[in-house]
This record gives sequence, C-alpha cells and structure tokens, in this order.
Amino acid sequence: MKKIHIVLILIVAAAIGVVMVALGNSDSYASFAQAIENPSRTYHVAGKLELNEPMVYDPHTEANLFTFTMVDNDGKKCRVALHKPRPQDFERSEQIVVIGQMENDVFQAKDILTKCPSKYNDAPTQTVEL
Amino acid sequence: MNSSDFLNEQLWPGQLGNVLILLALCSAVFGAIAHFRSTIYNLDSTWKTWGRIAMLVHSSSVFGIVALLFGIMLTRQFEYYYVWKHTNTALPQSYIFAAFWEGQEGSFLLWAFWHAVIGLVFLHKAFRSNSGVIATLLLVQGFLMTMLLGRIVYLPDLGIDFNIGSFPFGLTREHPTLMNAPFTKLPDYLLNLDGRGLNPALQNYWMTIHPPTLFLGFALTTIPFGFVIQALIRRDFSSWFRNALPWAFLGVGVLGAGILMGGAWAYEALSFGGFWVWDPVENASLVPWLLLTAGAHMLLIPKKTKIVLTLAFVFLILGFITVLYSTFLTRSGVLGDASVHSFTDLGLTGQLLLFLFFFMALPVYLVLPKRQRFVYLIASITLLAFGFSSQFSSISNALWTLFGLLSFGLGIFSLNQRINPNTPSLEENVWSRDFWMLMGALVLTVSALHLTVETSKPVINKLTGTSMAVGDVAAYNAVQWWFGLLLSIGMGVVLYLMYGKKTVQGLAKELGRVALVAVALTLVSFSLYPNMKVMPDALLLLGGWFALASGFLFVAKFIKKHPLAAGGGLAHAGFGLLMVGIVISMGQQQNVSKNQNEINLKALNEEFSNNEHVMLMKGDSVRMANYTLVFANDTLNGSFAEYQIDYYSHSDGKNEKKFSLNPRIILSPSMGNVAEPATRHFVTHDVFTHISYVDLENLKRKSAGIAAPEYEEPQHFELKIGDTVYSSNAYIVVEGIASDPRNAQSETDPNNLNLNLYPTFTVRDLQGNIDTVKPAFLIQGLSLQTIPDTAKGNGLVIEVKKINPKTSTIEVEMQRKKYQNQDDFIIMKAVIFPWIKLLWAGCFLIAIGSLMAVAERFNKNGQA
Repeated sequence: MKKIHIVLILIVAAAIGVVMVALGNSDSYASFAQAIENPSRTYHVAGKLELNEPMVYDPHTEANLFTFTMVDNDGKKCRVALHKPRPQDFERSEQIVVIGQMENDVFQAKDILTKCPSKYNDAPTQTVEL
Repeated sequence: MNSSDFLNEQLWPGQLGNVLILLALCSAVFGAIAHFRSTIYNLDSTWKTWGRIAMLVHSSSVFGIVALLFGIMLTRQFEYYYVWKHTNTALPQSYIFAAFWEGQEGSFLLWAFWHAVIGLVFLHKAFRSNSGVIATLLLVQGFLMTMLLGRIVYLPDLGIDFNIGSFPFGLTREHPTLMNAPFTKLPDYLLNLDGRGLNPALQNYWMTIHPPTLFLGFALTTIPFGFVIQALIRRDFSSWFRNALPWAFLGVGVLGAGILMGGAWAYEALSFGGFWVWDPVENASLVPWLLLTAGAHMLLIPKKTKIVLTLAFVFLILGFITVLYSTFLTRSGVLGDASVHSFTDLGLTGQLLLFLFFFMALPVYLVLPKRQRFVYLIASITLLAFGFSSQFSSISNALWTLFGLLSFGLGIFSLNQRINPNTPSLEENVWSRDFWMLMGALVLTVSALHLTVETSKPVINKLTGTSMAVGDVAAYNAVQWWFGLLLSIGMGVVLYLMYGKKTVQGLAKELGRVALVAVALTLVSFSLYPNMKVMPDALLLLGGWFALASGFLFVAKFIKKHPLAAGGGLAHAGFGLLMVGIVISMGQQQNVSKNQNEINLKALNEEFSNNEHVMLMKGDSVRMANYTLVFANDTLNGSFAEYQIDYYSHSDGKNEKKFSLNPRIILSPSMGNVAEPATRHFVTHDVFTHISYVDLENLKRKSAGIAAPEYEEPQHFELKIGDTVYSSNAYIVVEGIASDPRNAQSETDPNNLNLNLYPTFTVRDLQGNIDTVKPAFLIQGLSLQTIPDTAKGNGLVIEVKKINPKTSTIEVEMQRKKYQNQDDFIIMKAVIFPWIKLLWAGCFLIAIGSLMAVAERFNKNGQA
C-alpha cells in the first residue's frame, strides 16, 4: 500500500470521527416533560413566556439569578431559574429557548436565547416549506 | 401605472428598475450561453462578440439597478417598501450603505454588483480567453437576478402559488403586510409617511465595511469555480491551475479579511463577549474560506498527479457550493432559533434550493460522458419535480440525500476516468512540500466538515426528524483545536520543504532550530500564565509559536531573493500568531467583575456557577482585579442610554483614575434595545465592559424628573395553609391562622362578631433571614380591618385581603419596600483580554501574505 493511501484512510477515519462526535454529543431540543424524565441531561427547551406569573429578579440579592415561568411548545408550564442576569426587554420576547436541566421541578438554565417579535414581523406568508 | 392617483409618488425609478432587472437577467442568460458556446467552439468569434456585448449590457444594468436603489434611498422615497423598511428621515446619509444591504434584496444586489465588476475585469485581454469563467459567472448572476424578480406565480387549479424573488422596487402601499393599512388608501399618504428606519444596532461603520468585503470574498469564490467548469467543458484538466491560482488566493485574502471584520465587529460592538462564538452564520462564511484555502494550495502543487487534480476540483467546487449553501442557511429561515443573525425569511426557500442544486449538479453533469449526461439530467429533474410537488416529503428528502451522495461519488469517479492516465502519481517522498501541502488541505477539509455538520443540525433535523441542538462554543473548541494544532505544525514544516531537495539531516537541523525557538517562547508564555492548561492551551500555543517562528525565519531568509514569495511565509506566520492570540486572549481572559456576593442558591455543577455579572450601585465602588470600578453616571442621550464607569488603579497606595468607559444601550422602541460594550485598548490587553441589565424605566423616570415609586409592584396570591410561594426573593410559607383567645364570643349575632385573626407566615429570604410575619385580619361586627405586617430582614409587606372559609383559602397581597435608590444600579460584566492584539496582528498577516502571493502570481503569469 502506498503511503498516500494510508494518509487517505486516516483522513477518512478522522472525517467519520468528527461527524460522529458532532452528531453523538449533541444536546437535544425537548419538552419540559422529557426534561423531567431525565433530570441529569442538558436540554434545549423552546417555548413562550408566561406573563401571568411573577418574573423575579432581585440583583441586590443575586445578580446572576432570574426566575420566571415558561410554557413549552406542548403547553406545559414550568418555573425556570436562569443563572444569568435578566435579559433586557425580556417581557417583550416572543420565543424563548432555555438551555439547562431539570432539578426539583425547576428548570435550571445556564443560558437563554430570546427572539424579539419586531425582527421577524414582516415575513410574508411562506409558500414553499421544507 | 403610468399616472399615479397618489400625491408626490414617483414611479419611474421602480419602472426603470423593473426593466433593468429583466435586462440584467436576459443578458446574463444570453451572455452565459454565448460564452459557453465560445468555450466549446473555441474559434467561433461571433459568439465571442455577442458574449462580450452581453457582459457589458449585464454589468451596466446591474450598476443601474444599484444606482437606482441608492438614489431612492438617498432621497428617502418612502413610496418604495425597501426604502420605507430600511431608512427613515432621521437616518444620517452616511448609513445609507448599511441600510442598502441590511435587507436580503440589497445584499443580493451587493453580491451581484461584485460579480458585475469582476466580469468587466475578465473582459480585459489578459483574461478574456477564459470564456468558461465568464459563462459561469453570468449563470450565477442569472440566478441572483431571479432573486430580485418579485413575480408571483399563482395557478390555483394546479395548486401552484409561490413567488419568484423579492422585487426591491415594490411599493409600500402594495406590500402584502401594509396594503390593508388605512393610510395606504389616502391620496396624500406620502406627506406624513416616515420610514421604519435602520436598526440602531446596525448603525455603525462595521455594517458599512463588513458586508461589502464579505460579499466580494463570496463573489471571488465564483472565479475558481468558473475555472473548474471551464476545465470540465474543455476537457483540459491541468492547464487551468496557473490562471486560477491568483484568483483563488485573492479570494482567500479578501474573504479572510471579511470574516475577520465580522469577528472584530462582534468583539467591538456586539454583546457576544468575544470575537468568535461559532455562530452558524459565522461558520457559514468560514467553511467556504477553509475549502477555498485548501483548493488554492492544491493549485500550488506543480506535479499534477491524479489525486492533486481530483482534490483541486473537489475543493474549489465545494468552496463555491458552500457559499450557496450558507446563502440557503442564512436566508431561508431554516436556522430559525439557532442563530442570532439570520435574515428575515422572504419565502424564497424553494428558489434558494434550486440555486444550490443547480450548481451542485452542473459539475457532475459536465464531467459525465455524453451518453450518461442525458440520464443524469432526466434523473435530476425528475427528483426535483417530485420533491417540490410532494412538498419535500420524507421520501423525497431521502432520495435527494441519496442522489446527492451518488452524484458526488459518480463525479469523482468520472473525473478520475477522464484525467490522463499518464499523469504521474504523487511522489512517494513523505518529506516533500507537495505531500505536506496535500495533508494540510485535507486537515482543512475535515475541519470544514465538522463545522458544516454542526451548523447543519437544523437541516438534519428537518430531514430526519431528530431534534439536535447546535453545539455551544465549548463543543466546537473541543474538536477544532486539534485542527489548529495540526495545521500550525504542518504550516511550520512545509515552509522548509520549499525550494529544492533537502537531506533529512539538513531539514532536521533547520526545523530543530525553529522548534527550539517555539519551545522557548512557549516556556516564556507559560511562566507568564502558570495556570495555563497543558491540553489544549499550552500545546496549541506551542504549535502557534512554531508556525510563527518558522514563518518569520523563512521570510528573513528569502525576502531578498524572492521578495514576493515571502507572502506564503508571512501568511503562515500570521496563522501561528492567530493561534497564539486565541490561546492567550481567550484562555487567559480574566473576569474582572467576579461577583463577591456569593449566595449559593444551589450547589449545581460547574456550569451553573455563573458569577461573571456583578451589580454596581450608582456612586458605589467595587474592587475588581487591579482596578476599582465606580459607576459614576447614567444619562439618557437621545436614543442612547449611556453609562459611565470609571476605572481607578490603586497602585502605590493611592487611588488614581485611569480611564472611563462608556458602555451604552441603544434604545429602539420598535426593534428592541441593544447593549453596546465599551472597550479600552492597551498594547498588552483590552478592558471590555458590557452592560447586562439595567432598569431603563428608572432612567427614563429620572430624566423626566419623576420620583421612583416607594414600593415594588404588589403581587397577589390565593393560598392555603401549608402553601409556599416565592416572592421578592423570599420563600413564604403559610403556617396557619392564629386567633385571639378573646374571639368569637357571640357567633350567633353577626353584629356582635369580634374576630381577630392573625394569619402567620414564615418568610425565609435568600440571605438566610427568617422572620415570622403576622398581618392582622380583624372583624368587628360588620367592619373589617386589615393591618399589614413587615418582614424585618427582607422588607416584605404582607397584607391579608380576604379569608374564604368555604375554600379555606386566604387572599394575600405582598409587596416590598424599595431600598433607597434601589433602581439606580447596573448589572455589568468586565473582562480583561490579554494580548488580543496578537490575534488581530495574526489575521492581518494572513491577509497581507495572501495578497502578496496574489501579486506574485499575477506578476509571473503576466510575464509568461
């Protein structure tokens, strides 16, 4: 076998390796129900903010804790403890994704993604969908 | 549409724009055909002439469209939706460029503009023999022009209803989202109409310079792809290397500079807290660069062996295809939640897919033997038609994926069949420049593959029904640092394999010297930052220093003999410096704002011990690392909330104000408020300050001279005995209802009722204060008196409003008295990035080195 073939085999192996790593170590989007079932796993939960329940942020006590209630896409409500400062304009966010894990009925989030409606309000109806 | 019923409307720019778009489309298609003809029949001069005329007409039309759109934006003709959406009267003219390419239509035009410019360059006699390149360029332009068509195809009987492109000159009053708004019916609506304006977060010079550079880079990936297509048409597989090479490296330099500007923007003006966060949109421009760089290096290999030829084709095709793929990712809305800055979905998904598939299939089609081409064409069209008509069903998705993989294999197989079997096979000497270059290119490709798979997870989810989330920064770093290390070492070694054959001993001696320098530099860095991790930090640092030392020693040696050949050495040194900069500035970054107030709510794992954000009260000072920070002032200044943070140093026992930083929040009621960090640059480090959260209402109140409310917003609960609620950072438990022993003497007579109830609560706040609160609920005859009670530690006031004996619940109001100036605070984050200047210097060297290589090659090609 030529040396170049050995190199190529190694490269193909590395390529398969990185694809496996990328796909295998992936966090998943999930609902709160799934997060409750696997409390030790990190999930991304998408949903909406529940405005009727209190949003608590008291930086005088703890600047890196913000709690609120979120309704996931299945309609399940859950209290979320975000271990970061309250995002600016949080009450206006339309879509939220929290990243973290469930513990004692509270979703402990290490990160959050929010989407404001204004950026997306002028999309015409999409006619071709994937 | 000749005369308008609306006052002050000017319709001619739109009508002219429409004509020019059609003209640009037709001339692109015709010009592409003419140039393809003259590529095939090399001597036919009629087609050549027609092709040149078409190119001229096309470029002029594109310039015309660009000029028209600029014109109506500069004069704020709000009757046009694009102008209305992206500008307003208040927008300074200097941001018109930014507004121009903020939207999809404008950025498509920007891309098309660069193609039009490059097309004109190719009419010059030095390049005009490359008719296949111009043909490819015009074909791409044809697709880009359809993105601007804005035609609706509506055939309800066939279930067809879609739009082709988005017309940049559409009228505001005819836009689907506004046509039903009452103001669009008024004849004089323009008199009072102001635009929506440019998002304030984009009103900066980065938005002016980053997109044009990036899109020029994208446009330059079309050129090597064009050379590939030309080679496939002419069945001349190896002689194109020389002509394509300078263009490929020009693309490497410009696209690299564009990506770098994006990183600099993210670092300077966005709240990412770093220059690179592996955002899908960032990756989408990095992947084409990696592949283009791999392809460009293949072109440097003089011995055109089978594998070199094949890889050159594959890399340069993929370099262009991934530009189209990233266009699809960022503009179709498929990324959705995964990225902070993808475009608004214009409903062009199907069209973007066609754009992508066409250019994926074109090289495969061309490489196939004539008989197989027909079969391939029919198969592709059938599959496409099936996919679109079945609304992208899972079967068609599976078939498409399968077909794509088959095409890739078939293409490579056919190419290998066609390459002259006499082509020499790669030199077996492992210590040859060619061999190392090949390996480097392959490493770049694996890196690109990893980024592509990670970034494509939303697409994979759609195809397979999984629900994978795109990885975080750590997930990317964990894999990508290996490539950084391998590439650094390879880049250092390969320079010493240039110019003539060397003995292994001689090589070992030279490389040994470089390695010694690298080890010394690493040890110095290690002594400066002793807490550095060995893996990956110190190891990658060693690699970086190695590439740097090798590059500089190489340049020093050859700069006299081959001044321009030093470009490669500089670029490699730059990559080394980039790695060093990344390791030190990111790995050794110091959170100055470590929260001193450690309340461990939950002993969760490391990831949750987030204390990098700290609260500063106005006028207070907090000691952070070597500085004392004072939140000195906050002002409302037009559309900015500005905060002044003073940094004092306390060396020599006295406090001395060193500098102030003014991070701010850009206020936009319609587009959201965006924080903008402020950074103080020193040679050795940067101090970065970012506002995470403020009470903007408080600042607005203060500016208007309104006093802050004394109490926080009250909260209401309906509770049972034993219930626990959480309010104002305290857990409140309803313990029971104590009653006065003298109560209830005559329960039969309501007028004599004398009931003193004391619902009892335990308030346990997060600082550990526990207090019992007993608000009174007093019934005397028919009158009711409620007396609130206050928790001592927390200041929470509890009042029982109602007691419902039937449901055995109590209705409670809780509110907390505010501290003095409670709302005059900021939550901020301050980070020191050491030696981040090295990172920028590295990027700069890569760009300069690439451009020197381009100049050298154009020079050489011109002489030959």
